[in-house]
Amino acid sequence: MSTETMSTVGMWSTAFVHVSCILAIMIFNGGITIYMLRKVLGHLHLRLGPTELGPAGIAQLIPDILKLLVKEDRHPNRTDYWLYCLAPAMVFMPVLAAYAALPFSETLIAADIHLGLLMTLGFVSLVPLGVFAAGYASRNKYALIGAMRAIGGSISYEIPLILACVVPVMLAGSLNLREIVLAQQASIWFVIPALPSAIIFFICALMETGQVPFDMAESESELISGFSTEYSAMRFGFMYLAEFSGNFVMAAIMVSLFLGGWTLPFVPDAIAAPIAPVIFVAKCYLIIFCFMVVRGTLSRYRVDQFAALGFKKLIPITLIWTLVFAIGFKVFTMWGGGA
Amino acid sequence: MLNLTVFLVLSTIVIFSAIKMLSVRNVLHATYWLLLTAITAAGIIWFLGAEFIAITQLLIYAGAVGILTIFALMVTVRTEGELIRSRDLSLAAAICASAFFGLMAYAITTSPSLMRVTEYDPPTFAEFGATLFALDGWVLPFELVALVLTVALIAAVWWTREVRKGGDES
Repeated sequence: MSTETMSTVGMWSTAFVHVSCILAIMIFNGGITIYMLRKVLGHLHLRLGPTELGPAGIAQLIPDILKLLVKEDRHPNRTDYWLYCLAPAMVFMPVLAAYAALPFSETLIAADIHLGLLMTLGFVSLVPLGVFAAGYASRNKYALIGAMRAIGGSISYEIPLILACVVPVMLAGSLNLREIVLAQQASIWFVIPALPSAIIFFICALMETGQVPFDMAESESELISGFSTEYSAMRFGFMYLAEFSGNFVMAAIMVSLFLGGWTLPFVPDAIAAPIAPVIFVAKCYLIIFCFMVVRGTLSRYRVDQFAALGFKKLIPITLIWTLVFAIGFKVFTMWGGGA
Repeated sequence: MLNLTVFLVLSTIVIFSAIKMLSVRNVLHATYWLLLTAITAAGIIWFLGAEFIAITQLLIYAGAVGILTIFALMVTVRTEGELIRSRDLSLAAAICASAFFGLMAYAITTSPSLMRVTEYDPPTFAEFGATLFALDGWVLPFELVALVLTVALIAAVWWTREVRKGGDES
């Protein structure tokens, strides 16, 4: 084999290993998040959640997953067949790709590229298209309403979400998530100078992942799970997995942008460095825990309130805050030199 | 980075999905074929080393244009039947398209500069930004383009208000 073929083979096999690792993370994350969701929501509602199987009900996961795997894959008669079959993949693939640039530690990144943040957000923004495909192809009016809400939500919340990322990018001077974390290691966590951005990002992340105050696309109680009504068995499982992975991706972006990624404050690097991925994942689950607390506390917005919050409040607030911050930051760096 | 096999696979997908986008009669299916075309084209651009343009392609063409197309369908189409378009097989369009294809093919095959293997690395995103926003660079055209977008936005708002007022009077 020529060297070029060798390097091509090497490239593809590395890619294969990376994708397998990400898939493993996604599946584990799915399991952990389901259990967390049950327990956290349970305790928030003053009940216990699963208790019967295994210690504290943790083995409940096994029958859950088995049920998804062995259930009959049935689908309604008059669906838009190809779109119906492809939609779970269209929801799943972008989330899978979004993992590529997440910095679990300084070296543990599947794809360390200059534009990691932009790429992750780009892939995440493709998810509503898959959701719409699912809702439209189901030929069910509840599913279609849910799917339309997902598109409407994407239009109103993508802009503040991306604008909220601008402030930490300005502070770090990079779009690479690893470099953003390194910049925080050198100074302070960006949540302190950019608190409004962090709050806006948190709200938009709730929307982007369809969590309860903004779960318009799913609306269990009014739309019977919305876009995923007509899906069962593993097709539904894929969408479910993609949703939980979406939570993890948004939490991971938030941790990298605002909460110092794999670093810890006041802890010397020598101690923190060997357990860097553990710190990163723990922080992600802390954010997911916050998502769940919000989810268990608030009730759903009405569709019009939801759109109004996005367009009339979040976009102007984010624009003004970003402008004020940019001017302040420029003045500060010109006078003081370096942030 | 881009070897021939990868290029052939990706470009076949681009061409096939572009043809499907034009030939399917359901507008929504056409949107999803457009999406596949845009994402695969982004893949080709990525393998050519232009990361920023590939990601912009993904964000703008796949993400934003896809979502906006569906949003437009969502607010205009009322019945399923309206999603089905008629095929436009006009001769004039065929002539225009073939002429344009011929022109492009001629331009690409005859201009030597496009076939050249470049010796420099593609500029990084940071260099690109520094050039774009340098005071003696492209900052003024950039701001003017932004102004055009603002004007378009204000015009759209003004336009929809006017229509609603007319509706109230009648």
